[in-house]
Amino acid sequence: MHLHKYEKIWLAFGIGSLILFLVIVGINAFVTGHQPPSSDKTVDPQVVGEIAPFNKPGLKKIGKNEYQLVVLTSAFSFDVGTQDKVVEIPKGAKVHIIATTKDVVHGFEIAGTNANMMLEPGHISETTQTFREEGEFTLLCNEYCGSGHHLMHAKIKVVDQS
Amino acid sequence: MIETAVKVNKKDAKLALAHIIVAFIALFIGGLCGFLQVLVRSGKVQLPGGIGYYQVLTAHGVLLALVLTTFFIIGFQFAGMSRTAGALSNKARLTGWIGFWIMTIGTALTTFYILIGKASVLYTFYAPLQAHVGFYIGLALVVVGSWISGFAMFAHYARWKKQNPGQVGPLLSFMSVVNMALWLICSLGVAATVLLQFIPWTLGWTEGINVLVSRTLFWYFGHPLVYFWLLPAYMVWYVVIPKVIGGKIFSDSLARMSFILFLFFSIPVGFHHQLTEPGISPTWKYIQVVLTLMVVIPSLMTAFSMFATFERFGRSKGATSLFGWLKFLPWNDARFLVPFIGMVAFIPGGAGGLINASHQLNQVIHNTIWVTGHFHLTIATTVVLTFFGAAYWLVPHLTGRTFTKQLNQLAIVQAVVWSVGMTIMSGAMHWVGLYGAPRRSSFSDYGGSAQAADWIPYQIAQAVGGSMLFLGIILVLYIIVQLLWFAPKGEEEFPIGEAEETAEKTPLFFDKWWLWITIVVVLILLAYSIPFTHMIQEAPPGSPGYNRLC
Amino acid sequence: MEKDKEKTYKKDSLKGTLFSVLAVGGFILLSWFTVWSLFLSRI
Repeated sequence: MHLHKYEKIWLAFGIGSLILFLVIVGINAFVTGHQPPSSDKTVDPQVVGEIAPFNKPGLKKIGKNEYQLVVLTSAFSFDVGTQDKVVEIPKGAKVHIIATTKDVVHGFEIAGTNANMMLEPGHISETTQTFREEGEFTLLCNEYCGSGHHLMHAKIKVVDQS
Repeated sequence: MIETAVKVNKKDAKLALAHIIVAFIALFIGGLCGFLQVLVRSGKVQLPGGIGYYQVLTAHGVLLALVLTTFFIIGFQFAGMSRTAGALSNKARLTGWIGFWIMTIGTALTTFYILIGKASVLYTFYAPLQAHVGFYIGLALVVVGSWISGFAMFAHYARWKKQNPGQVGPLLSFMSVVNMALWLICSLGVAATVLLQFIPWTLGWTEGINVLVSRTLFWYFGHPLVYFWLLPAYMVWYVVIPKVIGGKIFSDSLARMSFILFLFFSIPVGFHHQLTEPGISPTWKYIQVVLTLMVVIPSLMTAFSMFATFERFGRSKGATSLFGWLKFLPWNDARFLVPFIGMVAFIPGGAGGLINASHQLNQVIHNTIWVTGHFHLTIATTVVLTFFGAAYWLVPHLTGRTFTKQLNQLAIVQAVVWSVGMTIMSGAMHWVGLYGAPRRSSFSDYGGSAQAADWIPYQIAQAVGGSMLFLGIILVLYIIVQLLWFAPKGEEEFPIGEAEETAEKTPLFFDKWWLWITIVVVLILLAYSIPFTHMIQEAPPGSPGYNRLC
Repeated sequence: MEKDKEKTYKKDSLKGTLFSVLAVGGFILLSWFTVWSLFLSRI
């Protein structure tokens, strides 16, 4: 099959760009460690509320400016360990988020950050996010979970403690 | 040259028209639902009479993404095959009618359960949300009906090959067969999850459902589905548009080649819809990301072919400057202009798709309204405008009427309204999606969140754009009704382009179907067997159904 | 005078096509890197 000379140039340019994209995301994922959330841990969704760490949702300090945030979701709420559903995080903290759902599929998104993952019954989801900027971020459900889906939210307050 | 019927056989025309009529009814109901959604999401309007936002959203997705597309595509392909490979045999036509009725009954059943509020699970019906069993049975019937029609098309192509030994099948028929093969192989996934998981689980025969497996089977189907929509648009671009403008097909072989590449690479890529999900290893996700970017290549080839067809035509008319050929294109012919706008929309549509599928980059936009903006460019502009542009000659060709000058002008107005409305709506969706505004959500202030407050102006823009799109739907329906029953009688051409005289002969090896199918199966097994086995072996306890939440 | 300066292309030239597709490619690269930089800024 014959290809026009310009078509060869175009395909070389196009395929070259695709390879460039793959190399960039590949290095970022496999070398720098920024893989998309892909935790392999499982749990029984019926009793997950009694199993650690989901028996005590909320923020825990685990190192110097390093925290774990445990979140247990159910239709239509985020349990982040506080009554008012506000989590205060010190500015610059690196937060390891671990979350799952008791019932249906939910979405876990902290708007304006890269923390964005699916929560599925029986599976644990994990991601890490560093909060460099002060301010209020909305944690919301971004996967349809039923009639109250859009009412499912919490708040992340990044505060300067220095 | 091979002699083919210039006109679609009258009996075949009826079969094609039946499909197209159902498609446009779905466009009306689904479009109305979309209009209601943008109004609600603006925060200024509430739905009356206990109608749910998510009920309307389910109807919008099912009727437009599944019903409008599948019915139009099958109708168009039956007409195209009858035009290029001769009238269907009585048996093939009867099979087509059986497929049509099964699909129609399925559509009616599914729509019924959505409208009575028993199936507000959206068109992706993610478990463990549970709809009424009738919703799933209806969907299964739509898929099975489409298979039956697919077999009628395969048989028709095989018959042509038998009658014309040693010749390559007509291009449009070849492409239709590729598309139905793609559809058959991918819809096995959705059929498996509906028949083996959802229906037994909904009826209480099984206790729990493996959620991750059901989602994976859905997306094994869900991404090739978008190519099943796109390929008929490409058929119009490759085969029909050259004839409409008065030019030639740039290369018959390259057109076939790109279709075969679509067949290979559009299926083993479903994980790029599951990039942020637990339970799938990031290495397997990355492998499917690589395969996803491979499927871009045939689109790069198509972009070149389209420009080349246009440039060759313009130069043959005497264009001498670098872009002078552009002005020779028939800009006031809706049969050209409307699909051309669709082509232009595919540039940002394709660029957005690349971003969505780029592994961890997906975290920026996953389930934000950016995604909704994306597929309103690809399916709701590129594909749909191409279908409208095709309907403007196809419907009158089938009904024995003509696409008059007045209707042509109205069709151009329609396309302009659509373009402006979509630019506003999709543009706002893309932009606010980058700030994190979620898709598939009713209006919410998220507890007085400052971020959510910033999204509201964009949601109002979406309502403005969406209202224009609804006006566009009314216009296109008016034109279609005219073409079906009222336009003056006459002959409307079914344009089929020819290859350039100097073009090399298309090699016969494109008809090596069993080889193509084998390669597809190997690629699917490579991409899926290990991670899929893992999902079953390492499965958590199954989930019960939740039917009161929705 | 203007006309003479303008380069003319032969009947089978596909120069316009080449520039058109390269413009498409440029747009794709630009969009991709814009969102990629947004991702990096949010890490």
